Amino acid sequence: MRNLDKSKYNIFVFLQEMLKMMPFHAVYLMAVALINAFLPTAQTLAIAEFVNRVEGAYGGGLEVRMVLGPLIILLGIVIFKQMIPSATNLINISARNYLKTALRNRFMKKQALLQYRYIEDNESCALIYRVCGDVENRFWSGYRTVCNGIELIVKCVALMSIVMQASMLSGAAILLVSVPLFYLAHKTGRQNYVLQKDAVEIKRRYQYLAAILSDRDHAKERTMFGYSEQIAKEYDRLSDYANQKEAVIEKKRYANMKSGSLTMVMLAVIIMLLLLPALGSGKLSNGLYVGLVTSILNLVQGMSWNLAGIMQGAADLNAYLHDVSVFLGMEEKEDANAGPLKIPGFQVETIEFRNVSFRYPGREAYVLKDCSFVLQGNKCYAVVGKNGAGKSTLTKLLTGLYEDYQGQILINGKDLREYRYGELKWMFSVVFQDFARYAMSFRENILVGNGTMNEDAAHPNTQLFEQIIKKLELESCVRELPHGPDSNLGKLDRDGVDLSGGQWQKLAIARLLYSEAPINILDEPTAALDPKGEAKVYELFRQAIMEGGHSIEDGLSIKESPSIKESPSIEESPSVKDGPSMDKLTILITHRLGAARMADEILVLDQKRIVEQGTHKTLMQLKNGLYREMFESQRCWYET
Amino acid sequence: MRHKNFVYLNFVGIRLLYSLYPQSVIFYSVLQMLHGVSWVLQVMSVQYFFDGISQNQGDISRLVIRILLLGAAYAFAQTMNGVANCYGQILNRKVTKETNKILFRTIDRKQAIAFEYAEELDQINKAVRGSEGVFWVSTTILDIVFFYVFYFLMMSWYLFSLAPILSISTVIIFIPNVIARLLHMISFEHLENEAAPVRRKADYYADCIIGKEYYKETRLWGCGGSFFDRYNQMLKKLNQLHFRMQLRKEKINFHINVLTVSAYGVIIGMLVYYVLNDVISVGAFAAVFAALREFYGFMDEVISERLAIAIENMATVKNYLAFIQEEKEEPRQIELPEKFEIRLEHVFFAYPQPETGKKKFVLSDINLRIPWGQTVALVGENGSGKSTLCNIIGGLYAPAKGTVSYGEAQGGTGRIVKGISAVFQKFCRYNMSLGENIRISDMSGHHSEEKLRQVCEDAGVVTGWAGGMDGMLGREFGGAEVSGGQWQRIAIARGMYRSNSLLILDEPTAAIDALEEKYLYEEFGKLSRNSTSVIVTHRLASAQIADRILVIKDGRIVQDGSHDDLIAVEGEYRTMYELQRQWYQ
Repeated sequence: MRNLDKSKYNIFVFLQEMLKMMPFHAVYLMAVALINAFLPTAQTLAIAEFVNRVEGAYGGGLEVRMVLGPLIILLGIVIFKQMIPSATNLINISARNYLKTALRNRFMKKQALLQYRYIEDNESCALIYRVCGDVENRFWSGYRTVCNGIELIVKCVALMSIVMQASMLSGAAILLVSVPLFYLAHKTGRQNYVLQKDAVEIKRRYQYLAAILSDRDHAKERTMFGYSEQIAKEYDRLSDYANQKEAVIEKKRYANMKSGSLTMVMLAVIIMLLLLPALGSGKLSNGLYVGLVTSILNLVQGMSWNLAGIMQGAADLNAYLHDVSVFLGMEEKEDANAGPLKIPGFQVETIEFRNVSFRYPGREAYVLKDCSFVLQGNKCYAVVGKNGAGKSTLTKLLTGLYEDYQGQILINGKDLREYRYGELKWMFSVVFQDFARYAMSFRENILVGNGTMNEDAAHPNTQLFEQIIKKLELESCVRELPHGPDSNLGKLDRDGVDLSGGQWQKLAIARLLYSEAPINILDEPTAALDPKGEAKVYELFRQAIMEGGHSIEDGLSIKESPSIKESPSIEESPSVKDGPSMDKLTILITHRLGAARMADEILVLDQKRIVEQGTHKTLMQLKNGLYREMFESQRCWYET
Repeated sequence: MRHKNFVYLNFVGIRLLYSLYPQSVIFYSVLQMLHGVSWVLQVMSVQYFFDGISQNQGDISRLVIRILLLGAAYAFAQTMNGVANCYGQILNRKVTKETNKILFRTIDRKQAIAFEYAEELDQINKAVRGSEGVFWVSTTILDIVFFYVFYFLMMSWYLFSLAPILSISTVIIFIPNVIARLLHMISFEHLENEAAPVRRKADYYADCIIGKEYYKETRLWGCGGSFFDRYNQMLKKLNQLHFRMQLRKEKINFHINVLTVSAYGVIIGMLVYYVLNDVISVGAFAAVFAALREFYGFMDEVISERLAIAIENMATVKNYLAFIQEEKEEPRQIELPEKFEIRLEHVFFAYPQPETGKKKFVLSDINLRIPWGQTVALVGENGSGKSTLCNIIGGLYAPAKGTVSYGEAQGGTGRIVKGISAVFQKFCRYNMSLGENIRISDMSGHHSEEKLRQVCEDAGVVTGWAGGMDGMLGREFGGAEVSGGQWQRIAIARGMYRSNSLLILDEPTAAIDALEEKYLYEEFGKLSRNSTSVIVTHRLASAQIADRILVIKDGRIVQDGSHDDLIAVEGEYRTMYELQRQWYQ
């Protein structure tokens, strides 16, 4: 299966894979389709036999046993048609289950391995969604379309062969007429009227207006500004316009579909007429004629929906398989799924950006241009800059989410790209602004900071865990939870509880402390907190990194937590030694200048580069410095 | 509403449709009726043709006419099928537009607070979804009466004309079949309920691996594997449930099918009997035999598809109908005078908490007078009740107890349509043009280009994008991508554009960086001179532009005075102020 991933995913590959993945289901469906295809022929012959025998016996005494044979066949057909769908339903569900497990896992794995750039690209995301959103149904209904198509063809061929047998001439004439007519029916039925682009656009617009008029996000402004009436008028106008266009398309669609079936009716009438001479001459028995007409009429009845359905299904399958090819061809990130890979004895000495330039894929403008700076291990850095200056991009580059930048990023002098991805994962712990609030237990939410939570759950470092809880003053929070640290968070489980914003924030910080990563990045983790809450979180964090031997010269005075000093277990527990007590390099990304001050050094990002770097004191001495200007503008509020 | 049954609700739905488009509904019914007739005509024409074959020996010219008649009957049926369905589709769009409009009107009359109640929000969301289904659910009965019932009656009549017993036995066999299928449909709801939480979990774990909000973190923590395990566990459970569900269904189906097949057998037996005894022609036999599958197919369709879908969507449609029926009268419109004093007396407020039933007051006993023209700053910690107080002063929420008045006008007696404007903490980003984004706050007022330019300038909105005021914003419809700071300014401009005597600014600079925040606050200071304004802010220093500062703590006003007053005394304000000042020492 693997080797197919790379190749173009066409219909043959698709069928081959379906057969390989689920031979039983696939063969069953095809077999039922083929039997179904021959039923009209069987029915034709049975009716023919029945009618002939009844008519042949006119005048004479007719007994039931004489017509028993054809009757049994007819009843058999009824039973088959009535009972088989139940079995097919079961096969369908089992096939879908099977495909779901196989394909979802395979496609999701692929998705999890993709280069990160696809995830932030709307177009790729839309494609991924199209491919993976309903994969089992898309595959299965694609296969069913193929079976239905084959069934239809075989059905027609089999009926034709009866006609040919009865009367070569009529048969040839029918073929001559039906080929172009069938082609016409096929062609008109196939024309797939998709909504014109502007109609789709307008539809999206009025649906958006509908959201403004009814959803929660707009409730306050809607009430305050009282714009409902006017927006509803616009909604009315746009929907009328779109409805008109859609009505035209709808009419065309139906007209096409039905002109296809009318052509089929015409074809049926022509066939009946063409067979009349054979009937008259006795070449064709009355019974066979009646049987044939019955089957042909049945075929016509189903044909319009059937043919249109198959054509639509085939077109959908084709488009879908194309999407699948594109999806499977998307580039993967090596080791994307790997767990953290510890580098024994690793101590972070330097991180260096050397003339790094970067722009997001598909964008013109650079976010970083010739950006260079050096960070020393064992220090705490703050990166400040205006909104949208590219602060968070630094995080994405450092953690290997994006790797197509120009220039070099070096860690301890070695190019970032030369580290294995697992090693980078081990090296960095990040708290993002929108950090993940996993709906798992409280404990697991913290253990996630150190690789896979399942393995870890078997041998969790309970002592370290307890220490961190204590350090971050989360004890009371844990005590209030129904099952202590093993309580489920979030609304996924019925007994799940939600934490407050501040508590989640602390929990995210706890992840960092629990991880052994030598480099910590806090990417605006407190933007959602008020200044008092923010100060609190930073103070806790600072205390935690103080454990690693940090000293901060200026800034606030720090209250040392007595509980940590008194705790004897810290020095004794070996794992604590490689844990948070190890020296760490910390990068703090923030737009709040007051918070930046607690760092050893501050980097100011502006104009796609680091324009200033130094301690708070040095930067404040720079005349016309951006940092100083920003700082002064905030400080002057507090000078009366 | 709760006890009213399916038929009644359908009746309400049809009445609604009829009131919207009386002629179209009648026309639609007629089309469906003709559609039903056309199917019976097909069967009759087939018999007529087959009889012709049996009776005719040698002379085929008269058969040609019968063939053409048959062709015509089939063509007519196909045409009717297309016309009726197509007309339904088109009518559906028209109806949905109207039902949506009724929905929007009803929502507009709801108070903003309704969107904070989980339960009521749920009702609203269901009603929104229900609006889409009104047409199909309501026309199910129309279709049943005018198409299916008509078809079945005509067929019965036709069978009756062949042999009375044939028609009666068809009906008799029909009834247990209908009952069995209906029972079958109803008995599966609980299984679906069992699957729902499992599915939710499976979806959630998938989201943890590939969802946008989790993707990068799950990758960086390297914890995707364990989510895969959990996902597969849920998937396995879900698959088992689904299979079990289907198996049970098919077991019942099996019984129903045995019933159907026996019925089939009985009818075929009767047909054969009549043929053998010369009661009906062999042509009639072939025609009826061909039509029988259709007959049972339609029966299947009406019960397993049409009714099943209708019942499935009934809940949301029911919600919709109930929702629009409670439509109250247009609330009284209150226009506030040019200048007024705001008075809050003993105001209490609590958000609904359906789980506990206990009321926890977010605001308690607020007494406040804001004289005309004053600028008031509200400060306090997150969750202290600042935003709620804003919403009460702005007339969005009605107090649980106590009164709010604006000069002579009493709050809570109607809807304030003139005099108040606001910039909300969670302001909206409209995917519209820049000009529309601002003008939307005062659409019924007089449009003034001059004013538009002025507010943009005051709020520092960049207008130099492609398209200027008419340039689209937001990616949704291919507009310009705008930074968070710019959106914030647009929201401020929007708030200022609406003519007002009271402007509420709820943390209006959260997304703006430090350098420019100062500029904006100075601007607020200037602007607020000719109206009353209420500003919520975290940055205590910026509160200094206000004439008066209120410190809110745990839902109460704990301090009230000017910056100089408050800084001079020991208290909450000074503590907070000092804490923030330290950062900038």
